[in-house]
Amino acid sequence: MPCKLEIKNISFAYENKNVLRNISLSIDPGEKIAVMGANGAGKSTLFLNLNGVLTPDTGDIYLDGIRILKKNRKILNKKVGLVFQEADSQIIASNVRSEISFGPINMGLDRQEVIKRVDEAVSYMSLEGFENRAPQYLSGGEKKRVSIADILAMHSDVLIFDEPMTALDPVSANDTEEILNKLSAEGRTLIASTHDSDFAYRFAKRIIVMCEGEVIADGTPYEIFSQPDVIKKAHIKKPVLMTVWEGLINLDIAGNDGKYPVTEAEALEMLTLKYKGKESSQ
Amino acid sequence: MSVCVPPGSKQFFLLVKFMLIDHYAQLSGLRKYNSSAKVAFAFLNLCIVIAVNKITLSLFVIVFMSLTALLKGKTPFKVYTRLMSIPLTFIVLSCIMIGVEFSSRPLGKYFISLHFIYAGITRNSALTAVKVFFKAMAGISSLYLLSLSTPVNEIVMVLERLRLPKIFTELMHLIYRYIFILFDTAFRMQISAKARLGFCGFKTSCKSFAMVAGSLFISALKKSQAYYDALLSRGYDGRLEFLSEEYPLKARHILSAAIYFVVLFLIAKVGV
Repeated sequence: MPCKLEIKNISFAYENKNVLRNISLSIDPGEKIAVMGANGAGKSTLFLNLNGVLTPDTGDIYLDGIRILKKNRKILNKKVGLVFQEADSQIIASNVRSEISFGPINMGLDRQEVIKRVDEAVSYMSLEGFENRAPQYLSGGEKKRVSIADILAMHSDVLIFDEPMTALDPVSANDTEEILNKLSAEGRTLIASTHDSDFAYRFAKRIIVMCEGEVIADGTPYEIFSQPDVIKKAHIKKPVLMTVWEGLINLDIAGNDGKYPVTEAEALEMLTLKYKGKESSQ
Repeated sequence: MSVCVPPGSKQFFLLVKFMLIDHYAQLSGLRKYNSSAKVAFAFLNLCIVIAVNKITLSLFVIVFMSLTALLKGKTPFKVYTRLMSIPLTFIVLSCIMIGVEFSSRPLGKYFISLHFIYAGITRNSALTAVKVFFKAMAGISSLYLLSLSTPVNEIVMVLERLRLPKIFTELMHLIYRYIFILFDTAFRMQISAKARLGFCGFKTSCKSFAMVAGSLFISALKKSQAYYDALLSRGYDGRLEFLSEEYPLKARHILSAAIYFVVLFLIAKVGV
């Protein structure tokens, strides 16, 4: 069952450097969130706090209303899965099957259950035939699939992806995006950090923008990308599709009904509908 | 930083060259044989070779192991001979030292005078040198067959099953995993230095090498923190445990091994 994740006024500092400042968020089950912000904005540190690797200096994290303390921090490891930015920083075992089994074994599951979960994750991520292969003989896309399978085998309710498209070729990036959409369609809560506005725009239903350890904006993609000051402050770009659509509205080609297309196919469909409607009324 | 090495790239081949044995183990025709059985076979074979002092037995082992690696394991002939030639140099040099005896008076049929002492070869010393040579080559060929047919990770798993201390096998797992990443990082740094004329002269090369080594050390330290975070994020509590499974042990493999050892036993009985 997907769970609700809440963080209240958390702050975190490395040595003397404040990386997270008084952050409060509420993440509902099944949400699809993109976290944006410049490098060093605190995205990865926030994720490490949400996963339980780091403990906030101040503030609290709640999972389904249960306050997370040092003694029950392991719940976060289990319920909130984190896929690291670099698959090579995550993959520790010397072959794919052993790697995927690492999380379930640490959860204390019996051998049969571990095997079942590993098989399921291998099949879900289409890694059949790679099970006994060493990580150094995998491509970047394959390593990314292994790192996602690692977390799927733990049956985490909330899945966090730290810059999932980094260093992937277009085909692998496309495959990864399809996997994220599939996971979301199954009702899992997804959080992904990204610098790619186009990806965030079409992927997320909610965007959280961070700057210097603070959340400076939180809203729908349209709300976020309609704020020039937020775009400038967070060093992000407006999505190409949104810019083009605004141009089409200004040229009176697209309708100004406040509805923006999320994908190119949707844009084409909206334009076709508009012009078919015009033709039939003439 | 991406550490993916695309197959077919120059970097890939360099990496493969570096980890040649493991690469061929991954592709071996004997790969899908039970790894515990392969380790046991190699170990038993090694023990017999060491215990039995017969040249015919050592010769048989060398021929059998080489043919198995080449024909069944599909290791390229060129690769195999190159691998065998590495220890060959050391063994030949060692055997020369065993074969040559030094004395204050002339020894055997063949000797030379070195002013105060004589260096010579006697029948016994020559025979010992030849026996040691074939024994060493037989031992090496049987261990090569193991390492050319069993990737390192599978050997580590067998060692785990043998209840070797956890710290030992965990370290082997981690070293095996990260040596490739470290090598890849070093390679990238070296290319970056080369691209800026970092290796155009002896002095510059020394300076660049020192810089690459220093950066590599810092990079390794930073990466170690990232790996530790990755371990903690999946509930690591001080024990590295993985699922270990292996290929089934087939009756015909046991039968083949049994026939082989019977032949070895017969050679040990009647051979010279």
